[in-house]
Amino acid sequence: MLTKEIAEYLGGAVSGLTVGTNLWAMPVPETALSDIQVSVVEYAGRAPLRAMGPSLGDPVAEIARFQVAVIGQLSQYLETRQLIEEIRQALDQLSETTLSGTRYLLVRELQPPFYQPPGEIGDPNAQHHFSVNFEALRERN
Amino acid sequence: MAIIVSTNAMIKVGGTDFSDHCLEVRVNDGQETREVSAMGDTSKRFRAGLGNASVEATFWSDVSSTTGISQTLGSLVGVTSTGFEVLVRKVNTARGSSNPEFQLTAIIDGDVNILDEKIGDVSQLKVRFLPYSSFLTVTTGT
Repeated sequence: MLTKEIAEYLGGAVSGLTVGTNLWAMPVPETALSDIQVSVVEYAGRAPLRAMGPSLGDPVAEIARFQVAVIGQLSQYLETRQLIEEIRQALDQLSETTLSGTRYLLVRELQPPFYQPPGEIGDPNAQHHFSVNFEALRERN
Repeated sequence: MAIIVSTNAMIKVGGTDFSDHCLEVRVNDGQETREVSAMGDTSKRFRAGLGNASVEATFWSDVSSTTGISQTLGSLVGVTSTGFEVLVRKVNTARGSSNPEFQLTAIIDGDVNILDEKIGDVSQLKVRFLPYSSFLTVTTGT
């Protein structure tokens, strides 16, 4: 599963991130305790690249899209911004890598990290939200 | 065969099935014409000329091995080439009257873009085959 593969990769590539503690392959659960939280979630991707092949055969590559979001407390703007930058640099242009048995041809960012003010997204806890969107060309697993 | 959406065409080049790298294949089976208009005609008239077949294909580039599509096509370019077999079917199942196999003893015509790299893209390779000798349509056998 893409989110799990990416989260596990980030857990090894970015200092201080641990899957299940402050790094999640899903929206951050309400039970999370750490001040800064990172989530990896999928959203609508694109049609796969295909070659000729049998019915139900695997594509040349799937084109999935996912978002990594960093959520930090009100006093942690700079730390939150720094962490999203480290995540961006760990993922953008990641090529020819196998993550948990799935071959990734390329991961590329779709735009630089962006800030979503708490009021804009209706966060009652007034936390800082930074996100960055990526596109992954990967083989079907 | 009814109208179908193409998902499983077959193309073999030099005995190797490259269908799983092919995203587009076209067989052209036409002929040239020769004009025979004469005095008194009120419109031009023609006679059939020689057949003029070709096969065009586009592949996802793959240079991962010496038997990949890129190296295979590159190795088939040569001034001493005496032709190699190109086989195409609409569907990669047994050939028959509703699924004929087009057989070309071919040489490569024009460019083969062995590398065509654009940042962030999966590159494609386009090639056009012309007859070195025969062009056949086979509907029997396997």
